[in-house]
Amino acid sequence: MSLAEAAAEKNAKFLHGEHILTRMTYISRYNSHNDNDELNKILDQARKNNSSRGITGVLVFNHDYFLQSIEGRRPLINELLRKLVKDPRHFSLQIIEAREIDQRRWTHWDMNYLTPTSRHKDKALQFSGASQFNPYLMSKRQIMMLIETLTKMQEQEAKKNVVEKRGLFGLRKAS
Amino acid sequence: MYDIHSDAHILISLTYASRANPDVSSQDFKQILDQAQENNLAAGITGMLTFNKEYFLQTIEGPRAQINGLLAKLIGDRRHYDLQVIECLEISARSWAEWSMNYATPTTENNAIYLRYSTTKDFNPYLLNADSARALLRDLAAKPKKAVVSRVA
Repeated sequence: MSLAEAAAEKNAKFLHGEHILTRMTYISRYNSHNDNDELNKILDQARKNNSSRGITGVLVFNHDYFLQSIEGRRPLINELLRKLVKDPRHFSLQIIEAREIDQRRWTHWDMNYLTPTSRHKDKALQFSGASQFNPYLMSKRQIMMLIETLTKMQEQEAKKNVVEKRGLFGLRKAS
Repeated sequence: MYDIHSDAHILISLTYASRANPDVSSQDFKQILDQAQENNLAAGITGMLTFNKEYFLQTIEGPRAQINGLLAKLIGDRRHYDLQVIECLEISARSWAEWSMNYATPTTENNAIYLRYSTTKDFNPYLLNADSARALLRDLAAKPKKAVVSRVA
């Protein structure tokens, strides 16, 4: 065995599939015993930790449930998963889908925070057979469509806000 | 009206890789396998496990809630570490009708299978992408029955 081969073999033992881009989507139940500002803490933490690890994604929250899609290098996504499974601030985590992707859907280095308010509520029920919103009864496709629909709504609202700002302040650019 | 705590009857398949804890003895391995056999059949879980002294590669199929319950246990199991989910998909039919296991011995036959799906002839599931991991398990199971420890569900 040549030196290069030996080095390659030694290297391979520590390789993790870093070259593989993965998207993982999961649902979980929010722990109702959490403090009021716990959600803000979760979001702050996620933003800080994920941006340094190259993890992008979206988080949907509705007081009872989390729906989250995270994208990044396979070992880092799994490192995050192992932490999430042990996090007592939510429970009954279920992976809905984990798959390799060619490109990311979410390009932000932080989390989008989407609350299904009354305006969003109809959208939630649109993809659900139950009379109450419950992602545990939804298929992968329904969950992905709901996340996609809420993301588009948020993007449209953000655009509208920019237009309104421009209306008020003339040529002010979007921040 | 659905019970708020009930789960959808959705069939999923989950494939993961993990690294064996160096302290795990062959006796522990046997215990892991017997335990897996018993628990999985009771939970409606089928699949395929291949392993050697260093690595595990496993596909498990079953109800979404049960598969995720098992995953949480697996993540907490100290007998292996660095668990990586390679793929998790909703499926319309199982690929594994029973529960199978295969010891990843470095035989000529096995090495040829490892080499087919990776850059090396050694078994290292961390280097595999999802398609390769799935195909590798399928090929290992397709070998003559005597080489595969297989028990009917």
